[in-house]
Amino acid sequence: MRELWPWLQPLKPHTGRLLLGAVLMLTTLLAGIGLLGLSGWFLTSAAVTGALLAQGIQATLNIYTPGGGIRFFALARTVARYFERVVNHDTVLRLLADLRTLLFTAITRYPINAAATHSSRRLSRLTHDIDALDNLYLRLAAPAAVALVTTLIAAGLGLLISTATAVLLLCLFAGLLVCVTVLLAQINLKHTQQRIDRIEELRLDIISTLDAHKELAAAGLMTSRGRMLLRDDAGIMAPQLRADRNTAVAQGLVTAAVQVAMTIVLINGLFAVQSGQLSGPALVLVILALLGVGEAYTALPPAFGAWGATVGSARRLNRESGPQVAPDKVDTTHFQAGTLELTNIGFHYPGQPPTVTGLSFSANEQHSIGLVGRSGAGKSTVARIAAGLLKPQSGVVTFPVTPDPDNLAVGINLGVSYLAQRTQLFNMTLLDNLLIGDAGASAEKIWKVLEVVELAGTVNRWSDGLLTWIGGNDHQLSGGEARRVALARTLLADTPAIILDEPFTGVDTNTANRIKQRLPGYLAQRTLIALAHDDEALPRVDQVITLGN
Amino acid sequence: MPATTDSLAPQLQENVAAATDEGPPARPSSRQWLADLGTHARPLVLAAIAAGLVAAVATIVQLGLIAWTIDQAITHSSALPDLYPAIAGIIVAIAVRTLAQIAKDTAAASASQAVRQEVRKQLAQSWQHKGPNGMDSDSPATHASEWLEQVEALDGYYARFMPQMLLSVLVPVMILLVVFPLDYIAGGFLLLSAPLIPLFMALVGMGAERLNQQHFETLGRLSGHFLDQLRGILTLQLFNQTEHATRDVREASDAYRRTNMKTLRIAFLSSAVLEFFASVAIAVIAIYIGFGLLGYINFGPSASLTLFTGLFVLMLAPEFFQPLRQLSQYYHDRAAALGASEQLISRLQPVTDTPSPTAARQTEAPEALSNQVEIEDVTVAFSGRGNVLSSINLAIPRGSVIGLAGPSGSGKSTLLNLIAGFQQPTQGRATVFGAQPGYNRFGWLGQEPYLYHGSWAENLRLVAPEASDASMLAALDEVGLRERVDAAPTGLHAPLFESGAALSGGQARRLSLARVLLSDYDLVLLDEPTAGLDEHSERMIINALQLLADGQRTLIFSSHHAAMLAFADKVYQLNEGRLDNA
Repeated sequence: MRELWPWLQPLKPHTGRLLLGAVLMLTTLLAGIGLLGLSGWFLTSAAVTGALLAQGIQATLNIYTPGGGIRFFALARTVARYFERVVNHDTVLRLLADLRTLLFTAITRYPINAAATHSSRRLSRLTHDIDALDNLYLRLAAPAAVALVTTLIAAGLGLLISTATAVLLLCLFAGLLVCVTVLLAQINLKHTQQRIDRIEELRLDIISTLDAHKELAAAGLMTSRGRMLLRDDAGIMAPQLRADRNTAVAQGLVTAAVQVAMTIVLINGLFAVQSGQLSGPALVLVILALLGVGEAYTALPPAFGAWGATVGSARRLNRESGPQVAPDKVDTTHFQAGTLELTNIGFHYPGQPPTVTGLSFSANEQHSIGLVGRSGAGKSTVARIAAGLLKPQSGVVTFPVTPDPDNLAVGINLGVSYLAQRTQLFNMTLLDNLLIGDAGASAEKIWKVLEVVELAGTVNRWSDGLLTWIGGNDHQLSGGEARRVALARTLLADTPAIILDEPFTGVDTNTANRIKQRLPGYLAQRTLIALAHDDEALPRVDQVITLGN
Repeated sequence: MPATTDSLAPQLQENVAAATDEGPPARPSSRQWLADLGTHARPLVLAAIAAGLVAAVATIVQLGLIAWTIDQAITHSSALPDLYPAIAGIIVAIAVRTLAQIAKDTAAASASQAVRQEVRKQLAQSWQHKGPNGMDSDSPATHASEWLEQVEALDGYYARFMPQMLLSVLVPVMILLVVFPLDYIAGGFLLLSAPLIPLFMALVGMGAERLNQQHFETLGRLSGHFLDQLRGILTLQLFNQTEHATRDVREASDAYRRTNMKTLRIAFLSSAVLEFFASVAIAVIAIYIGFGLLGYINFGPSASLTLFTGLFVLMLAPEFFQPLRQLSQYYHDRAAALGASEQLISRLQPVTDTPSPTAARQTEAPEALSNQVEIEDVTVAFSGRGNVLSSINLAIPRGSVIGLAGPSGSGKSTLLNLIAGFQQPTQGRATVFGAQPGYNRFGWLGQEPYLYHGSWAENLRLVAPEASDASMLAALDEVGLRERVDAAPTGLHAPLFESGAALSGGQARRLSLARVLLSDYDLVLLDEPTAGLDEHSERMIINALQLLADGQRTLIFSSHHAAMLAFADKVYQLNEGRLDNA
């Protein structure tokens, strides 16, 4: 239950809507009870009066008030139900949009290394878990509250017959309420959580299967992989079926309890009628009203049967948006305009031997630096340290810009534009991908950069030009083209310093050479650090440092 | 970065264009498709319907006994003990009703399960049928959401809607058969109001269906969009674009709410129509019977109305509408299933008549044995980019090592994809040792090798599930990664990290090569195996490939690197999609 509290907080701005929804829900129910109860009372009164009239005894019955009441309840029920549903669903979807945004914001505030969770798992959290919370507002909280009110109404109806009947009804419905909410939730908890967890595993497996589609298809393994996914799927179905069965039993319990309540009222009521303590019409009113009462409970079993799913989602969401990693206050960072400097840096990944020891270099506008080393020598680690993504365990890093404290102190916020070793493009147009580097870039500036990376001609030949769709899972760009788009994006950002990690991966030598020629001109007055596996793959730099050994 | 809607628009146009261009033959309607799938669980659906009928009969009996008991007690002042048998009957009826209802729900849940499993089986087959290049346009997350959420959306149709569809006809008919002999005017009211309901619902439902489909498209795109943003979160953080991305997420969520509400408003309208008819019918019947009992109505059967018949009819009136009301609540399930099925059907439709060769492996035999990889006059065109390959002719003898050189974008990757069978030629023909490309298993090393977020062993077993620990260690030794694994405390079972954060690019490539070494392939295709690698890694890879090139296996690779190309028996030069005559 504690897991759910944080998710009740964003309710506050929506209190008005939520209350309106609950009131409409209750109105619908009361109108239903009123319609049946009043109809029963009117009909029985008519029968009694009719019998008296038939015997020639003078009797009167006001037919207008109950008639009008019946029509009123009939209309009220329809209208209230419609608006209840529209209002409540709209509120929930508004809430979900709020929650999604909150969660995404929380994730983007994480320094990247603290957030190593697999991205597809996060995707599932954002959509699936947040959506599972609609259960919390729409199907759990409000209906349970309404059912509680209804239980009291049922007991009140019982009072019309006898105190004993009222107590019996109260016990019966209270018991039912406990069974189809708390008890059912408890019994199903294990099944539903198991199911949700397995769904997440399956989602990951599906995504990795398709990510590795080529390798698997080449090895002729797609059939067996498909069979494996289906087997996992059956593992999801089993707990679901058990939970469904429990929910069906709970639903049966609701029917039985309502009918048993009616029977209790019938028996006790008949005693009361025959002893003259109760009129016949009043008895029928209570019996038929109870039919309406039953409606308040029918929606509960499916919702509470899935309680475990809601709690499980809330728990995972709590973990994701949980306490933020405190910003590093250790004084390993200095700032000096135009300079990107590493002094006596030592770094090791947790539980592994040191990747970098005692590394020092200083780059500025007049002095660019190249770092070479074989794979595994720690080049990318140094690049990440210089981009602010990793904090060294010892030594001092001097960045060219003091970061805005409201934003994560990485990349351009530290005055560093960084091309990571792995090409990461977005599933958007070429233009949108480039604008990530500089959202306000002019067309002129963009074409100039495309010239630098030798893409201007290629893009001009594409029929959609800058608006060509690229990125995503398997873009139609070749590896070299994608790399040059990423390079162009990095060059677009107007930062004092720029870090290029293997800028020419996949780019043929001739093209790479031409880009190398143009870079110094484009980067005039900016500080450059480039990293590569050997001198050949470096742009022109003033000093080359070899890492490792 | 512009707003989501902007960036989604071209994709939408693409989808529309794709849909009209292809015009897949004989596509079944959603309704037909859902009905056909139902046959996979027919006995269970029938069992659910039978149980529903038993519950309905028990309900009618129970209500009749209640009405009779009240009538006896109030108008005939019967002594209570005389009524005990009737009360016992009520209790029995309640028990039967409850048990039948439970049986109905359980059977229906099993039916739905059987159907969903069938659909997933078909989905898995279609992935294989289409091959990797046939399904690129959507992200793996979209496919995962299809397999999970969209197939789940069929649940309500089979677990609730389908059995209820028949029950919503049978049960009201049963009730009419009881009401008519009691009072044909009251029966007439019910009969009159009933046919109006499906009519109105159909009118309302038609709109809901289209909207629901839209809803699922939005949901699928939302998933793809999120994954894309999350995968690129490092880039967003580095370029301080997270606020923009958050705004995107906000807008996408709001757009989702708006489409969703459109669907829901209409879905709710259909149930409101029903609610209205049910309420009015109860009200009219109550007033009619009341007046009849008072003796105000002097025609028809009203004179013979008693408290028993009146009460019985009044209590049956809500039961008459109950199955229809439930059906309308499940109408949402139906609309959801129809919306999901639209997308599932088009996913299950073949893109082209010829399946991806990797899928045909089990079915088609090779045409003739040959000892060559043959490419005859092949042209490949991509929309918007023109010819990526133009009239390529190539014959590669078995056992040779072939290098493909050329500037980036010259068509090297496309040629490799063609030989792999991932890419269909727009024109011309390719065969591998006499068979269709991809007919036989082969080794593939792509430009961005896929790293699974599990352990070293899991990564290696991805394409060689049978590999032993010893052979995995040997393969890692070949590519120079053995030390790294030995250094890890749990060895082969130590985890790698996502996207190889803890592995350098060169190490990731070498790991991927180790996978290829684990199996004995006749053909190995490598797309830029040494791009971006230092000399050490390059040497490691060339050494490992030298072991592979034993005169039996055929190796074909693309590369820019002199060292790599020097290793080939023959190098073909590609330029703007054409083969230079070397």
